[in-house]
Amino acid sequence: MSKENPTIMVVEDETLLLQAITKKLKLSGLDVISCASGQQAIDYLDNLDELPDAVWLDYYLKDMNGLAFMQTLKDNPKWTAIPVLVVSNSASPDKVNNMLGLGAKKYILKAEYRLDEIIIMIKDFIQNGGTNQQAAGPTEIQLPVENGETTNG
Amino acid sequence: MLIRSRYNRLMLKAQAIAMHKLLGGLRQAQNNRDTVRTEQIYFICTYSFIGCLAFALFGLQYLAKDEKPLVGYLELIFALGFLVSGLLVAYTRHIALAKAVMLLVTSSFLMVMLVSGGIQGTGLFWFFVFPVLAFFFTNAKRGLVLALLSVIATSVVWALPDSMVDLPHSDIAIRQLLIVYIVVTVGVFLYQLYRDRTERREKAIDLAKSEFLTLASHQLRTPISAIGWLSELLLSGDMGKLNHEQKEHVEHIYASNQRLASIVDAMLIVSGLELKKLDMRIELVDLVAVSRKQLADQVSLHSDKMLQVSEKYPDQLPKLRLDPRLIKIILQNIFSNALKYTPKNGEVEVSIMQTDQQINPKSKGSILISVRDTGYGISADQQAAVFSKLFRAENIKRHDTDGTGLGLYIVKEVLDEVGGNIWFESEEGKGSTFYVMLPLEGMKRKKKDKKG
Repeated sequence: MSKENPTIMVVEDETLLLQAITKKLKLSGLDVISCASGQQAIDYLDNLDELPDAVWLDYYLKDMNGLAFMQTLKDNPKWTAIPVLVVSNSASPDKVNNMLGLGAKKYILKAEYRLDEIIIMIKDFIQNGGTNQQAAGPTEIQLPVENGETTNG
Repeated sequence: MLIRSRYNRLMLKAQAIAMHKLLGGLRQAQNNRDTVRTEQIYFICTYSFIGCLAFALFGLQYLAKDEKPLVGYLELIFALGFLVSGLLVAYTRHIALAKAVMLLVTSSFLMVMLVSGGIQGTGLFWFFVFPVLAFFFTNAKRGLVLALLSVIATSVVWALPDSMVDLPHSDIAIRQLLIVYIVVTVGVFLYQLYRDRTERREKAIDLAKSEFLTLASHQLRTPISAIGWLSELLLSGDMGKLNHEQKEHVEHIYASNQRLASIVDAMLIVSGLELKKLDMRIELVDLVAVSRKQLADQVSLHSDKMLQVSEKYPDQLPKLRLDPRLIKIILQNIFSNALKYTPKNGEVEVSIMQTDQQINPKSKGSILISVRDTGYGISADQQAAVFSKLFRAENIKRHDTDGTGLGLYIVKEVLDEVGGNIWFESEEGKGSTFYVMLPLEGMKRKKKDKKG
């Protein structure tokens, strides 16, 4: 039943980035489903026979933001188990906390890593994600500890 | 082509100006807010203690004269009220609570005084102070409502038939009182309107700054990621092999982009620091591994200088509770300075060790990172300015024109924020040693001395 290559769904609305990511992931031996919008990703998930092993999600999408996408995944019992990895360029503590709270497994800041570094992380992530995938409930992600003074601005 | 490059230059200039304004504005807004707060605390304390003293004196006087003991006791109660609100704000610095207590005390006092007599002399003073207080404690609109309510209350009491309330004042006195009251109210209202507008503008600036941070981090970083990742793809040979010259060019694109990325990062951190919104995420970090990687990255940028770089790490160092991004920035800056400002064939030595030295009384020990170089050094007269923003030493400007003067400023500010420390020893022409100390317990956000 196991496939040869793990499959990853990439949801990223910047076409240039999407192309680069897709190419690199394919070269690294992963099967890729590229989606340029949140809706497209949801349509794919609806019609796919087999769910992807992980989702690479950008926070800002043209048609919805990462939170709305996560909420959609969470609301559909078939999809809650898919591990999501947020790869974005905006990492305010609020956003990170919200995404992790909704069940995202990891939050990566794009500008801080080379593409190949992120891909190594993803491969690790898919391997480990497979083992602790039992959770539809609370995840064991450590939330950032500090942030006493969240501003309400 | 020409138009585009001119456009780009204009855009860059505009961005630089915006950034500069923003950073200036940030500091000012912070100062203004602190000033308003201090002003309020000072005002409330002074007002309450004068009030307390005056009422206590008058109250005791009444009691001593044995004429109207009820008034005497009432005044003593008001004195107590003022004392409580003064102490409240002095010790708890809880302005809202103190404001409420004082408005209550003052307004009930006014009504009592109107009915019982005594608007002559000192009594008048308290009447005129009321609208001033109402505006000072609230915003313009609420102040107006409060002041008008007291005008109406006074008028109603005045209009009641004598059989119900026997006012001890003449009609003329009350009319005069009302007119003066209204004049004072209008004056203070205008002043307060102006004040509110300033406050609103400050809030808007604050919000704009936060939005700018979010927008900037996303909008600036997205193209940077695209350039970086695409050149990475070309360099890795995944898209076909590049010839020597092509490869060199793409490497330059990649390196310039890295530089741009770190400048953007530096700007965002500076704004974050000045907005007091430094984003900190603690993880367990292998400091030695991070140090090895950062040093190797920096060394590769200066491979033409044939520097002798050595590293000394402890055999066993527990993983530390650090923010990976911040520790990376700290190491990157001190390593890059050492390598950049050391001439050919020089030496750079990095060492990390665990010491018993305590960085604060609660600390169980410290991690000391030191970077020694045989570089240009910093002249004695410029050493005091090393950690100030935009500072660049005279002797290094000749060797390198690229620096932003933000690196050590950021490192110092970040370390201050997370409970660490940095200092250095340097001699011009011989070299410098920079020391960074972190508590063994890891980074911890500095406790604010007062609530925001």
